[in-house]
Amino acid sequence: MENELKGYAGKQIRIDLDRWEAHIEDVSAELSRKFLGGVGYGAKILYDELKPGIDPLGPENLMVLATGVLSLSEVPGGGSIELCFKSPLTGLWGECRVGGDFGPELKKAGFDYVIIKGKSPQPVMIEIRGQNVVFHKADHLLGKTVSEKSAAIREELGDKRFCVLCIGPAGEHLVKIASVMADDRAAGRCGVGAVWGSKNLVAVAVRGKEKVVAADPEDYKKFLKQTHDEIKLNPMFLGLQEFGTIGDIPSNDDGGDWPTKNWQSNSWGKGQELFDHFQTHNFIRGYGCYKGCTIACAREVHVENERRKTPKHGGAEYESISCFTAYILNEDMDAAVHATYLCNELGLDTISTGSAIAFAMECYEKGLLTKEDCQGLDLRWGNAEILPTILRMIAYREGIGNLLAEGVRNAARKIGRGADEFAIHGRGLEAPAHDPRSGKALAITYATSNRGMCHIHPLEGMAWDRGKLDWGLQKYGLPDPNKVDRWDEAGKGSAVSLLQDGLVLPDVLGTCKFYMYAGVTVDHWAGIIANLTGWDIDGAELLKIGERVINLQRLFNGREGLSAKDDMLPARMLEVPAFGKYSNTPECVFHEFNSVMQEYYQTRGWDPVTGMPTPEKRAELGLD
Amino acid sequence: MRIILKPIGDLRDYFGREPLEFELPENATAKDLLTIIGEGWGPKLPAYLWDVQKGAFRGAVYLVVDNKVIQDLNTPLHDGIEVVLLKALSGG
Repeated sequence: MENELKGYAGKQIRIDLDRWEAHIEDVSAELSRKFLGGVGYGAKILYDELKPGIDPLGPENLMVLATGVLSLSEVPGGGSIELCFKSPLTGLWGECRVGGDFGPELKKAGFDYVIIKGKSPQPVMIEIRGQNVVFHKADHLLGKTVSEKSAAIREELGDKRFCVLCIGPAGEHLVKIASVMADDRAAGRCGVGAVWGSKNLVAVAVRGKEKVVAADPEDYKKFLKQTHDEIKLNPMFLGLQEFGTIGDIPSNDDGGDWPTKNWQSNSWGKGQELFDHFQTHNFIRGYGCYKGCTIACAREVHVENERRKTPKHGGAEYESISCFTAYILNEDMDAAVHATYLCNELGLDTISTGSAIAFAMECYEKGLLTKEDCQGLDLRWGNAEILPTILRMIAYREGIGNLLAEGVRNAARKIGRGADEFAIHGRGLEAPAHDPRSGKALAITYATSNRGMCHIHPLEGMAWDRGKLDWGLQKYGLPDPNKVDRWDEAGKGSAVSLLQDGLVLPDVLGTCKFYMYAGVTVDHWAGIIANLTGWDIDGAELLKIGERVINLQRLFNGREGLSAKDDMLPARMLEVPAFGKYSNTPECVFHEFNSVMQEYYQTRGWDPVTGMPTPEKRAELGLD
Repeated sequence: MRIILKPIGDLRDYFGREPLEFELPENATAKDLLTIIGEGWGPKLPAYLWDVQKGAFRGAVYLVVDNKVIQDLNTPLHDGIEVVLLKALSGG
């Protein structure tokens, strides 16, 4: 497939769901150079085409499926696609990345992006087979679990090699913590599944056969091989390969990075025994979520225990398991694995769902919710027996599930009586299982992350000041992490600014961030892109593009009403843990948060009062 | 010969903030270094880091030289080598 824009498929599809119409258009070379793709391109589309103040669950919302320039199976981490939209959970910029083959397959079909607007008059499944787009009635798919839907779609389309994105029953019921699933991989956060449900969009399936042609195929191949070879013995590469993300549980528990009992503490002491049970009884094998992944951090798991039996499935990631163990004081790992399996099948975001249940348990403990309010469920801490029932209630919006389906911020508002103290979120997005009391850079990244408090964008802070990764950014001015203490405060604001510019790039380029953990740097990415596209591009320009994207998403949020006052943390994260290893460690708590935030704004070139990019910064980045 | 062991990250809570120096025989290997670590620190390390029975680290704890994990413990060391001891953390 040859086109003027080398290294890209070069086309995008605009879908009008109201009319069941698809229009194919060229991708702009100028925008591609300026924003590259992924969440960068998605931000540009949403900023230009979405009016401020629209209802995220109304037909005016857009859903952009965005590959990046590097969403190709041969690229380290290239099995990736971004979903960009206005979030019904936060009212702000919404994005999710999901691994798997959908992104590369969309490229093979000949498309870099799919831009979806409107609302289908009836449930619809969109088939993209090469350059042909077909709309299928999908009423018969409603009510099916994610795996049932995906199997049925492949059967109907007559080809098991179709890559499928679909919602589960939770998305169909417009649950604001619903996900979109690519088999057992999740585009989890920000209520993306509810947006699909609001559009009557049940699934998108893609199959293609073309190949993106590199500008310099020989050097491209050589550079790819060199990059792959360089990282094979990297400790992060091997650690992820051997233990998956769930392998972090014991050390995070010990390190004060395991939010426990709805964030009342950052350490529980049960991490090792829970992980040992997992390794012995639940873990089957590691595998890569997309063809070509060399890290292979995904875990195939199961529960054989008759009471919680599951088939073999992919899952049991660190976040998911943490939200169904430490968050709710559940000591039964089988129950946690089973619960995350159910979340995947129902199409629920495991982080938000586990958080919502933890919130409900604390409300129950404090008398703000009664057994009657919960339809007879006993929501005492650690009671894993309720999980299958409450998960279904959330997915189908039944009883207490209807309240929790709104997310913790909305649920707390409805309960009132001080319940907001127990709603742990950033801008409405439920907090993931990393605690800023383990390393203070995370506090700044959590407070400023454009999609809310998430487990992807903020983590570069933690990995730098606690994990001592420098991401190859020292040459661009990042302080040596070995000279920084995790509980230092001054200097973290300016460091975070550079960390964010660098580590937004996987989501712009359409790659998996774990490859950056494993040693792939912005300079590697620049080398691959240069050979793929023929552009004269380097690491410094990539960082500038990262900065541009962060600022554009910030401007989108500003237009939706965000300001500096929203750059804050829940009170509980700023308190000494109530129990556990760090309950006598006052230095783990942020003391000068406001002044470090000012340091951040200054480094960013943002107004210190509004927290918004100044006109000068906008002009510098070409965003005026 | 002189070997420098540099623990980083959370491991410094248990090994100290400064690099450690050891004198090992000329033909010492990575396994010999691990034996010294085990004898000196093993029993004091938390259970999630050190398997007392196996005399080995648990989890993603690695000896690293030039950002590459020493996979084969029979790998010979050389005078002045700096070996990083780290616990791989990924997040996510």
